[in-house]
Amino acid sequence: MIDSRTARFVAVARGGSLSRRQVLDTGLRLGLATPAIAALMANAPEATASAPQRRPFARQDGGTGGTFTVLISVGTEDIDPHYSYATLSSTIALCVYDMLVVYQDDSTTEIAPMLAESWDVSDDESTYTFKLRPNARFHDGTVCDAQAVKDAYTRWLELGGAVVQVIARFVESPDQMEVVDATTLRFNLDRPQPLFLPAMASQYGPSVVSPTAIRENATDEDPYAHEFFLANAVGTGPYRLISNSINEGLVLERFEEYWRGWDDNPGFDQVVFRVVPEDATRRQLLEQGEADASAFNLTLDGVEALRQNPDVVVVEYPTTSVSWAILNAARLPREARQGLSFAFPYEEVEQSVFRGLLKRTGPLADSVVGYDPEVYLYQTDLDRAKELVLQAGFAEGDVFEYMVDSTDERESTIAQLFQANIQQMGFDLEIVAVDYATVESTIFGEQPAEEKPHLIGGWGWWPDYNDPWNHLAPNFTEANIGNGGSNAGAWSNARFEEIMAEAEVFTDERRLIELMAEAQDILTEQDPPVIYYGQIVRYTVLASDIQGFVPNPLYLDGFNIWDMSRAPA
Amino acid sequence: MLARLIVRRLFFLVFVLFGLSVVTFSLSHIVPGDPARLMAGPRASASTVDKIRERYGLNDPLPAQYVNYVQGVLRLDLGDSFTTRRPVRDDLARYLPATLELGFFAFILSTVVGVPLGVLSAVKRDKWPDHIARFVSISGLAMPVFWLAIMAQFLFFGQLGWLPDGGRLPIGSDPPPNVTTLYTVDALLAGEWGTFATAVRHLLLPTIVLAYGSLAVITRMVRGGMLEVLNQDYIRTARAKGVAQKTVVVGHALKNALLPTVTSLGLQIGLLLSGAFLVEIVFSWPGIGRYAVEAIQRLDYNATMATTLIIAFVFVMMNLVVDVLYLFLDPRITYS
Repeated sequence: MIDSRTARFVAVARGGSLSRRQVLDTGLRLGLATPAIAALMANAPEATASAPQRRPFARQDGGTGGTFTVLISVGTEDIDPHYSYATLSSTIALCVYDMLVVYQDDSTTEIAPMLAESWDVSDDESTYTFKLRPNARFHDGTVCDAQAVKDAYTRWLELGGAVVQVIARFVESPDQMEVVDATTLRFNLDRPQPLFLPAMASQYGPSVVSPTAIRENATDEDPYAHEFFLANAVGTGPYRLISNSINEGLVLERFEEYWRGWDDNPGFDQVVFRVVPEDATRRQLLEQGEADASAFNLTLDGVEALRQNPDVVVVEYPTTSVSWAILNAARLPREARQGLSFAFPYEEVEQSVFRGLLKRTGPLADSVVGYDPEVYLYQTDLDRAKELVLQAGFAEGDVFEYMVDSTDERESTIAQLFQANIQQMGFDLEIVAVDYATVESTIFGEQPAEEKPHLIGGWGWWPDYNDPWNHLAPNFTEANIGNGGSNAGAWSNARFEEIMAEAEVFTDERRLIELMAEAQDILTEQDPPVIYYGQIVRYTVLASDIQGFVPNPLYLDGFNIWDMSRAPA
Repeated sequence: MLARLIVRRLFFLVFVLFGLSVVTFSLSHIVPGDPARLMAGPRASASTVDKIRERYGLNDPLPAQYVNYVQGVLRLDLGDSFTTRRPVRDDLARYLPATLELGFFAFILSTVVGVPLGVLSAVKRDKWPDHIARFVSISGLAMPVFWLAIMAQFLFFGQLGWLPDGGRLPIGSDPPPNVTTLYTVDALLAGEWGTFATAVRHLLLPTIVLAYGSLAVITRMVRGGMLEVLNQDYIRTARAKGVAQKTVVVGHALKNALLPTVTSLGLQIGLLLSGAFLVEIVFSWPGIGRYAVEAIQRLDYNATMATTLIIAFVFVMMNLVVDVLYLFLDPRITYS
């Protein structure tokens, strides 16, 4: 209801003869009324018509899947699985797409069927024949047959996105994919490729997208419909994308025609990925039961607090990821790199900084083929460190530059701990705190290594699939010095080059393991290019009533979403 | 005269925006970093990164990049965002309304609460309403908006559960039919009362937090202005003549005390927009503040340029409105 004075005010305003006094008077009255209006609105009923709810609600078919809400810290601007290398994009892809094969549960070596119900591998491992399930359908209703998989993988190969190298290592041309019949697809690789199956189970790339959606959304300038798939998804996965508001989040809905069916598995009615940029808010949402999951995006204090909370479970799992600080070989002779490796505060970093989310290893994680359990691990020894640094030609008082990402609290702490050790040795460490973009451009940029800092902290890697070459080559080979590679310290070792050349085309796993043992010795005791912090332990926080989650070290932040559901109350 | 003032200001606006574009373009390109590498990610090959550079014209010399950008702006093409991969114009259409809604209501709130509070504070000088108003204004000025946002969220969402944690609407909810792009207004126009209530509940906390700092400034300015005016002879004369207190305060004193406040209102728009950068992050508000922060972090030149120019445009336009308001509030003022 509008009071009479306000009605008069509106009438006068419409007549165009509003006085200054009337403006001020009405403004003041509105001002006094605003807190009252605000209080009333705070108690108004909430619109819930289409809002996702955490608690289960009745489905039309009688199910009670409810909504599974995952908190993410940033939006996903590119969810095209054939283009984006973002881990978050692959997390989404694992929900809406299927691959031919998948890593079994938490294994990094066993491969399980997915769209392919079986496969044959030729004796020389150069031909792979996949028998596809006859009942797989895309979210657009079309059949996922052998031609569809070939068309999808042709797109992956020819789109030329960041993830193309996962398939391009094995398949150079679409002609190597042969449609034998509607449910049989053969890959004729030109040489033995024992890693083809692991690569086809990678979290980066092998999603089968709908060829119909590609055709319908292709343009002359964009023949593979990348623009469409940036924010849309049409796959065969257990959930289909129904809305994507980029920086607010995504909503997925159960795909009722999913080939695995839902008879024995309640699943969820919806899966919501909600963007919440602030760390403290994500933690509060989990504590309040307003969200069900958050993967590796909380502060360590937040994780510690949630560990004590009975309403959530912090699931920790080993990864294939190893973190390190790059040693600039162009400015640090071998002895200096060894010396600085002895100077690093491993125990403090493991205990105080990572707080249990780190396991000491060398260059390879223990979940990767070729990991050497006897790998040489440096222990902090400042006397030995000083001796080696002096041997390398440095003098007491010399200053080493250590570049870190200023927004990374953990790396800044590591830098300070390291600085204390270096100062105790009689040298100094100048911490150069910059933004992440600068760190990355320093690592990948064309700037000569001689002009880069002595050390760059907070780098690391994990393989696209379980292959030590894929993990080591991008970081330590000569081909990756300079623009485009992450061998920022221009480290080079002739024997290591030979090992990598052989490992790239290996056919015998026993030989690969031998090669990797030697490589790990070179990369640690003999000639360290970096200081290894260790293998990262990742975590996913889940509401305690979520069941079925099995993390896999090769699917970082991923969910085996079809297996998951909410336990009955 | 008014028309001449507006035309002249708009003419100068072109130079302001041009100067700002040069400065922003230069600064954003001086910052070290490779946006193409950031887009592709650390695992992408050098050839993929090169393709991205070529696609976005990042291989061109800087002056050529600037000229291309300005030519695009003249055609209302703000380029493509490196972050979202969409035209910046589309992104602004998507995110600007959220910030405008937040800023608009924060401005309204800070004004309609700040002015009466300032008046009350001055009229009841050294009494408890004055103490409360001074506490409000000092705390509003002293507390960083980011901290206040986290505390307010912790209290009203985390502890009391009265208000939602953030967002414009719950994710997955259908927004009201678009008329004004402001969810609250559009929901009212569509008669969607449930959506209206939900939109207001989501808006309440970020609006109050964002408004608090401006409210503090306005309260202090009005209080100061009123105290000065209330001691002047003509007020004393009015009181001596037996004019009612309300008429003295509102009719005689406030009018004159408001002039400096109106000046600060124009500046508050700038404060509100910059404050929105932080408030939008804490409250997951999908506005251009968040968009700009991500753009800056990702070296997204086009998005950074566009958001800077938009904010400058709004700032200059609001100050123009303030100048026009002067004429309305005080007929003695003329612009020659």
